[in-house]
Amino acid sequence: MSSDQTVRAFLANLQANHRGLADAQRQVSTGKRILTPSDDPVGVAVALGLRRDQAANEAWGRNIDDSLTWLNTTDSALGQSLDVVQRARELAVQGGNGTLSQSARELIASEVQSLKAQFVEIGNSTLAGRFVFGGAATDRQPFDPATQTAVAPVNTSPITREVAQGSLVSVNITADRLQKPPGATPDVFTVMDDLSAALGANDSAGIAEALSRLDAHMGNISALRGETAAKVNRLELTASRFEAQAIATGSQLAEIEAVDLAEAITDLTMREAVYQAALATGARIMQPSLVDFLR
Amino acid sequence: MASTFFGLNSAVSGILTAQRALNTVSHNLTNATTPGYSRQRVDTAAAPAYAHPGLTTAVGVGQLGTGVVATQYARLRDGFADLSHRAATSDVGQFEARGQALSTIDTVLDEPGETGISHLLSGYWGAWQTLSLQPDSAAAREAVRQAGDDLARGFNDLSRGLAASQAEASARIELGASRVNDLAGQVNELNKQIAMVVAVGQQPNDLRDQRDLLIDELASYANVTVSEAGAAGKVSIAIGSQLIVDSTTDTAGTLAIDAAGAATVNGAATTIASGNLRGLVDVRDAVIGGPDGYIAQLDTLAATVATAVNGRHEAGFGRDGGTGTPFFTGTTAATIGISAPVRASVDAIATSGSAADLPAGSDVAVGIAQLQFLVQTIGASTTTMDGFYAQFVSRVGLDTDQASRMAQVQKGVLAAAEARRSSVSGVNLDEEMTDMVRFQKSYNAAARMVTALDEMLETLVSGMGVVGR
Repeated sequence: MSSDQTVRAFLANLQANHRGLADAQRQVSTGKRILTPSDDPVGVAVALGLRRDQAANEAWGRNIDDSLTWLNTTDSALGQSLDVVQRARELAVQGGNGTLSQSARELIASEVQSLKAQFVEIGNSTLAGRFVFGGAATDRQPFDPATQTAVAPVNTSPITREVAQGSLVSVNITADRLQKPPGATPDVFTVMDDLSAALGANDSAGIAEALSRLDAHMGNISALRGETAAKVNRLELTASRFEAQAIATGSQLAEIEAVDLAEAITDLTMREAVYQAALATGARIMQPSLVDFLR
Repeated sequence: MASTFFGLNSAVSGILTAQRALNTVSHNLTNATTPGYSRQRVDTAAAPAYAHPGLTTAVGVGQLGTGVVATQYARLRDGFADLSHRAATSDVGQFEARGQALSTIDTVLDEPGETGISHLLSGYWGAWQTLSLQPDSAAAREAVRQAGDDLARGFNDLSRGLAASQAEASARIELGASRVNDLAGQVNELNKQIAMVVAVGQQPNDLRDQRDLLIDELASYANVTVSEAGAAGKVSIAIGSQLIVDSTTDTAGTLAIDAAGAATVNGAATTIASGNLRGLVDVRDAVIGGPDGYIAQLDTLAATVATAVNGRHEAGFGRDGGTGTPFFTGTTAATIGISAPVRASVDAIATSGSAADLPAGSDVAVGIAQLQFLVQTIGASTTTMDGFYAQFVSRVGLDTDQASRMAQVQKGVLAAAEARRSSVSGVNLDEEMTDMVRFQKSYNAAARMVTALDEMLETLVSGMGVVGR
């Protein structure tokens, strides 16, 4: 063993120790196990996948929140419209009573007319400036307050959001479904017009027909509310599932990327001790040679 | 009968030889830390015996020794240790060059981080999700354009970073080749000087040390085959199949490496199997470049993103009623960017599948956001775009990790070869000090011998013939 080689070998070992020490220090000070892909090439791929899932879950979470707001607004508008139809039905029952005077019936007929305006107002409900019953045409009123009819062409497009991977939900009820139940029953404005006309003419058959049509409308709006409520339920379930998933993903990610501090600090302390021992031995083996002992 | 002064001559040979040996110890000690220095030793032998004539016989009772002679200054060197040392040097050179270049890329990727492509991709899909909630919002459109621009720039930056690594490797290949030529020229000059010294029967130990040091450096650039030819002490050095130093013609060749990585010496094709130059050529032409290299992978991903997004985007209608508008232009990582119409106005961003559903039709926006999880064939894998990128990052990590590991392993091998070589050629201070004591003692002893002979002669010259006086 030459003297020079002793020194160089010592230096190489010392440098290796120092690298290890720096590595351990870096882990402790950053709290991260993976800083570059080469730190754990397989782990980093898994971590990237988890991070993508996290970001996607967040996006779906936002979609769900927005959808719930939309559905809740729709639901409360549906509730109000149900009240309007309910009131019209009450008026029809009241007007069907043959003992009422002509003037009383005309009074009832005018209230039916004002219910129409109320229905238009509810049908033009907005959320953040968007008409909720307007389909995709959220920028124009679905019902015209002047003519008290649906504005043609009625946009019947669903407004869809992705709320989980591959899972689409349409959050809106369109004007056509609001104003008219499926089948032969005419739209709500026609029914109310017919009702007020029948009241004016004291046409008991017409009033009875309006009554049954209003029943159909109430059934329709209730069904729409049911549909909305079911969607709200589903979204709330999905949202709580995402919350659970977010916690699981977070802990998985920490498992891969984060440093186990207890382990890292123990490692650091051990490496420190080894480094100091190496320095101490170096000082011992390098110093003396025969030169120091010969006179 | 031997001469009266015979013993003096023997003692003087001892004094002179001890002096030579001490001078050599001094040379060794002063060069203990000189790179490439090989320990020297004075080889001694008993001087030829003197068969002196006698009165009755021609040869007497036997041969009488005449002292000591220094036969040569030997240079302690192990040829086999040199071979393994050079091989290890070449391997370390190769993997260190590879490891250094790759660790730069490893850092440039910034994964897992906030500016890496994977983060930008997630941001881009997220922006489309947000736009799908409010397709009529200019702010959400702006966010999509911004995220798309960030993503395209991320691709551009990474591609530029990879190209810069390639350019750096090219520059280092050029420098390396010119250093090899420089070294070959120096070895050739030393060859000539050594031959001149050898011709007069001496050992050019220190010149040989210098030459071996140059060859060591040469080995770090490329794997070399060294052959010592003839008695003149000259060496020929080959890189692959071609001689870069030719001892028969006393010429040094010129190594050149072209842009495609092909090596030539004086125009004749050869192969470099290891060394720094091999590592750099590999990194430039196979790891970063090449049909399966990083740039190609990144280009594939960029093209897939652009094609997939454009496919759905062109089928949709923008806020301005336009359709058939691409979102991205360019088909490589270096050229991808957001298209001119989208750059000009966010209203060109398509969200709706039909003109009638403007402004709030969101089916196209939802469709583009869903691309995040679309499994398709990308390059040689069937995966999502994010998955393909994760695979790419993983591959860079593996390559870097492997290269630095290999460099560590080869450094270990080199250290072992160094230790073996050093155990033969290196200077050990303890050993030299012991030698110093040894040769000093033998110098003193030979000098004492002279004194003893002097006293004998004193008796003979001054003390004889004075009986009774």
